[in-house]
Amino acid sequence: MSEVKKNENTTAPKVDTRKTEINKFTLLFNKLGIWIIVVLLIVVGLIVSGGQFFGKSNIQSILEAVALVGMVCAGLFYVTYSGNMTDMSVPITMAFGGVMAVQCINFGFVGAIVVGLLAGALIGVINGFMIGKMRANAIIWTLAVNLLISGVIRVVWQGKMLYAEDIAREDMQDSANLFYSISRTYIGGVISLMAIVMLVMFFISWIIHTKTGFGQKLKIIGTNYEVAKFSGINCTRQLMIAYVINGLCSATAGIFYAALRKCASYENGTGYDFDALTAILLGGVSLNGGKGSIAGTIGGVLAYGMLNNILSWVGLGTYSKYLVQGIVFLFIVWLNTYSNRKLGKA
Amino acid sequence: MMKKSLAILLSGTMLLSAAFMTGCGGGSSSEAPKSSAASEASTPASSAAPEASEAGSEAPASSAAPEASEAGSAAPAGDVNVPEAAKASYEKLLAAEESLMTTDNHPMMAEGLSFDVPAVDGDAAAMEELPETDKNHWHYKEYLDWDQSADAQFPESPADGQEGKKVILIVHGAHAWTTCYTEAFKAACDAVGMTYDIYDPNWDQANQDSYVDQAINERPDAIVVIPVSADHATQQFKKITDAGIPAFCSNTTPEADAMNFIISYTGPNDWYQMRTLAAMLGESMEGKGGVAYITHNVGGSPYYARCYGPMTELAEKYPDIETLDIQSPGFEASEVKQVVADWITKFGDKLNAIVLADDSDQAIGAVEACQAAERTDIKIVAAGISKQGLELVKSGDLFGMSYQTCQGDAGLAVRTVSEWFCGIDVARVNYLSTDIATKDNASSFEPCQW
Amino acid sequence: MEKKNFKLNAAFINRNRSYLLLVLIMICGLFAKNFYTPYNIQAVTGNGSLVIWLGLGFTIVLIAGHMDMTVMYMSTFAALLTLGLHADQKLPWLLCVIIGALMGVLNGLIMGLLVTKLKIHAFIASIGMQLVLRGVMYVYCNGKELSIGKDYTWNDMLNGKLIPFLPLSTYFIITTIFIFGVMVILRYTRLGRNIHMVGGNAETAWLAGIKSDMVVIAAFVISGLAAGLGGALNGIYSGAANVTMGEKGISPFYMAFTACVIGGTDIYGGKGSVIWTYVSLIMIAFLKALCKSTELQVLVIGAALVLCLVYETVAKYNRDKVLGRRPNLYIEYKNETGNAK
Repeated sequence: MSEVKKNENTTAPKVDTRKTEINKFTLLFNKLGIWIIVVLLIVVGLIVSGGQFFGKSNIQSILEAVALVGMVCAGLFYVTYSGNMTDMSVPITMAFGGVMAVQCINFGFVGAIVVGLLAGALIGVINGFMIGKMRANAIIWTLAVNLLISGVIRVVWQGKMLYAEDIAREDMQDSANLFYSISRTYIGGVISLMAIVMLVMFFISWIIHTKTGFGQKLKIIGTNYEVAKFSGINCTRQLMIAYVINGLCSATAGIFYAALRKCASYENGTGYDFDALTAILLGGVSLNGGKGSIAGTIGGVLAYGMLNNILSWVGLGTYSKYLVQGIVFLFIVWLNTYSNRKLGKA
Repeated sequence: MMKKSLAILLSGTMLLSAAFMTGCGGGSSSEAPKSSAASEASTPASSAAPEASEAGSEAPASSAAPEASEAGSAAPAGDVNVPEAAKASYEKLLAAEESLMTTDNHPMMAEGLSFDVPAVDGDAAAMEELPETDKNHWHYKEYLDWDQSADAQFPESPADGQEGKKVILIVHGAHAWTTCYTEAFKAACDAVGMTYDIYDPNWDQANQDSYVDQAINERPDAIVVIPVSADHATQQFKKITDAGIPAFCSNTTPEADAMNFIISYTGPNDWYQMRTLAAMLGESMEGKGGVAYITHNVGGSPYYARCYGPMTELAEKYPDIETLDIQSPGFEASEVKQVVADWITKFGDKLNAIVLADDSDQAIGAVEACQAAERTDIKIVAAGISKQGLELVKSGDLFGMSYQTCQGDAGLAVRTVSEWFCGIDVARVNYLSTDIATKDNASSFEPCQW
Repeated sequence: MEKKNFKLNAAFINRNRSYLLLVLIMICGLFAKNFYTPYNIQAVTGNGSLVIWLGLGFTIVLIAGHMDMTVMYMSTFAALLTLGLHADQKLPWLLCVIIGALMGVLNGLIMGLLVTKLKIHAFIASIGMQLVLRGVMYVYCNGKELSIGKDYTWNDMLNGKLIPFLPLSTYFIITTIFIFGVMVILRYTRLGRNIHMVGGNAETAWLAGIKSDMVVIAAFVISGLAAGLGGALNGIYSGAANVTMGEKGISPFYMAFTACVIGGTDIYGGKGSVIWTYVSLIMIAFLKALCKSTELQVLVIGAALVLCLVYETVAKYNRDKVLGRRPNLYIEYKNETGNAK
């Protein structure tokens, strides 16, 4: 009935004026994403530094600067990918991992590392349970965890800084020294162990993401939680795994950080949440979940490090850098959202 | 059901924790006079020390104390006039001064020093017109050169000795240094018979403000503050003095104007030390080359002292030495490492020396960047005396660093407060003794205080 | 007026938890030494005021369904601007404060535009704006601290008592008046109801003919105004401002956020009240005065936050179960209660 009436009322046939063709640029940007920017940054870097950009020491400096952020990103990727935005408890996971590792240095070097990693996994499990099972708001919950664990560490260790050589017994001094040395080892005298660990972690992460069922399931969960639920995926378990991986990666970064700083305290890792998120978003991982790749994330991490490097080549002070970083960040996020919307992907 | 039980659980936990906290709040003050290991030293308060030796120990190297005399307070020359009521307390103080030692075997409660304040014409605004490399540009930051005619009405000293008096110490934040400082403060307080309460605002300015208010609310006999920021200090000390409580400032220098509300400042002479260090550095560089600076937290007094102190000194004595860059990457070893690595790539051979504001995290980052780039020829100097720093000095990675006794700092603060309680005129500015730690004399500063 | 049924049950406790907690803290205060002195009350409320301004801004944006993490930097910037203008340009205090507040409005406007027009998620946009604001602040003051200098007129005024017998500082009273003003706007005006509606369900609100973009921008602008004005006044109240304010310790942002959650503002938007936040923040201020050590403060505030969140989450989980919004959970529920076939 109503349809007939409608046809009577309209005098001219309706033309669909919505755009169907896709802008070449948005498509290109969406496909290649961050690597365009990486190439762009390399060119800018070569110009600014007068060709020294590919010098041995500069490459080393970039790689080392991004190593810790990269380690965090390798795990944080899964959280963002599963549609839970970001994990604001990254700083405290790093601090907790470092503190526990240093505190347990008497179990030997391997024991300390294992305890540190377990501490990270513990926070991952807590987050995974509340967010995966109970569907708590991811950002709010992780913010709260950050505050709570920070309080716990502060009260238990009274805001002190922990030094491994103070805690280690006489016969354990060797493991304390070994612990410190992990952030200072250079494989073949060129590439630091931290950078290698970062790359290995990215490689493992890439395998998990592309070659296992977990990665595939997580994509569905990230894209549409309800759909995933009804296709028989155990969402709780997948999210739990995602958060545990994230906790492990953050704790690894935290242990390296504590070793680098030669001491562990509650304030280790401050600011790494935003740094890692910036890198991940630069890498084209969608905040809505279900979109992004490890390759993109590596690109994001590199771009982040190179941007910092170039800014210091230009001679900007630490604080003017914030301004440039902020604007670049907003611009790239906008570009990402924009190209996604144009392609109808978000 | 679950909802209800959860709510009950929630409120129950709240109640418990609140009750627990209240207990803590009330209990902390009664806990205070707990005898610590160091307080053993306080027991021999014998009257054996004769009056003459008191005078001897009281007339120290600071024979030239121009500030003290300017302030209108008679410098303690010869006999010290201690009121009758404070005699016993004063002897206890002297005993503590003799017995308390820092962990690296220096006297903990040594007499403070004074330095001459050079005259400049013009106020702070006029000085800011000068170039940054001119010493006088920083005059009002370096010297506590305040207008004494604007001094507030200070509370009168009770002049009945420090025993049994309550002091509240508000530090700036948790750090290994702070822990060392507070331990020493407690030990010194126990030795001279004062009770204490220590508030720790965790580097937060707003937090420190509220702690100042709380401290005033407790109505102690004196308040010692290590200000987080120099500018806020004026307001904080104004509040304390307005409330009729004697205010003392320790360690970090406040704005010169804040001195109008402070009975006495005690702490290291950062500027002087950094100048000495810079002179040493300039000599070893043979007056040429390039220096880069990594600063302390921007805005605090160490920021100016540890960056512009050496810069002005080098500019004056060795004009050929070039300032390459100033960066404030904070206190993260990795950030500092990156900044230094970038410098090495950018400046290459032009970079010959680095001045650091901190000898622990910053030093580790800088030393490692230099080692990674195989540029061990770069001379690095730093401020402070931490365990990590001293190890780097011993291994030769750090060229030198300034020695700032942390426990001595606390000791000097307690000493000054006690003297004020005893009715002695205290100098308005008391500096710690200064020293530079290099590879040669590093062993005399061991074991490290923190 | 119709008299409401009063029942002391879990729902009642939950609804009024901010008030009950405040009462609890006040009762605990009876056992603490020197707690109920006029000086303490004046100091605690005065020092807690900055966070109330931030909490106000944060709550409004949260009600509108977004998260604004820039409030802290916004207020610091306003404080720096106010003090800087007074010191360098010798402007009168009133003008400085107005300019500081306007800067907050401008920032709120930018945030609103980023969120509505460029469609960047508010949380991400605020991270970017944080960086930008930090950069701008450093460029503005070169990392220096700015202080009121020797001009104590407004400082004394804000620190002093407005009403002689009431131990409350003028700053706190201004804060309270502003809070009630915003409450009236939120509760009784069209704009206020629209903010609630957009927060509850943006799509429905849009279908109902609300210009949701304008409403969200308005929410951000009010938030910016509150942060700016509060920051500017706080700069004068505390006598100085520096760039790193709140980066150490418990940041004011964390406290504002905690208070929102404890107060009962829905983290998904649409429900909440600035009064709840206000009461919770006063509660937190007294709590801080009650437990002396910073470590304990962080732990207690963190524990309170986590407990409230756990409660909310579990309640929502159970509600979803019962309402059958998630059918699989509904089956579980049926199984539990034994009604399943």
